[in-house]
Amino acid sequence: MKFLYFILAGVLGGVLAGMGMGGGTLTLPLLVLVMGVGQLTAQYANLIAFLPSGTAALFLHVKNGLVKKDNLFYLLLPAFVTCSVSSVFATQIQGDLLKKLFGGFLCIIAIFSLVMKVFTPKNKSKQK
Amino acid sequence: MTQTVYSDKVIVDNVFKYNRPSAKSMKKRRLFLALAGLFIGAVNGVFGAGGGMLAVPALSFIGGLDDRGSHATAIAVILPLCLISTIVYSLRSSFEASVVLPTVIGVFIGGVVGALLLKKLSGDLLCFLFYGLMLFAGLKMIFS
Repeated sequence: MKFLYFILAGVLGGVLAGMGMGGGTLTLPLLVLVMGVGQLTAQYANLIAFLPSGTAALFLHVKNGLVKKDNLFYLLLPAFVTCSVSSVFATQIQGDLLKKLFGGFLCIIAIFSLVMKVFTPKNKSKQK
Repeated sequence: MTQTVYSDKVIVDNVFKYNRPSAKSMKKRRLFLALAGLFIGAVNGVFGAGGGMLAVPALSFIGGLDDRGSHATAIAVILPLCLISTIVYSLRSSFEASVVLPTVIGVFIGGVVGALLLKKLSGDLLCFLFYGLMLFAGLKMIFS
């Protein structure tokens, strides 16, 4: 039965991810708060879950010519470095700290996005 | 006006338009892209999530990409990052198949559904609901 709930948590996050809204930020709290999974295990599951979906999405986007590769290197190289270091950091943190940090991150993103949403001019949707 | 790649986004009469960037602005933009990369990588590594939520605005505001372009390119950014993190996690933490396998299946199904829904369902209400829920979950994680 628990199996089905895990699938459901994945589906809910996946729907948002497919719509381009950041699925992991929903899957992770669902796994941790509702299902009682450890934070690192949830993160690990979310990472693996993204690999096939992300590959499929990337393949489609590249095919449709939506991925802009120029200058991407400038963003990716430093990201590789910090990502490697912080991944090791994540696996070393003890206790609830990782969960609390992630909670803080969620709050910041949520408040920032809400503020942006309220103050963005409505005709932004006209951009092409 | 058609969009040139990594063009300057300017607002004319409250509508976003795109100009070809100058060499100087290109240099500045690369620097900001690199700084954003540092931050995106750090977040995606430590939380195994959230990189996309940062990469989309970074590519849009710094890169000057449009909505579809920034979302698509963000996946090209976070996919390799997630791959690195997965390798690191797999070396240093235990694999719990009972959690991972159903989640992988669910996310894949959900991803397809979400991509199909994208054209039909969007709107402010969904956004507010999502961010409200996110704030609630975040507070609960900090104080639980």
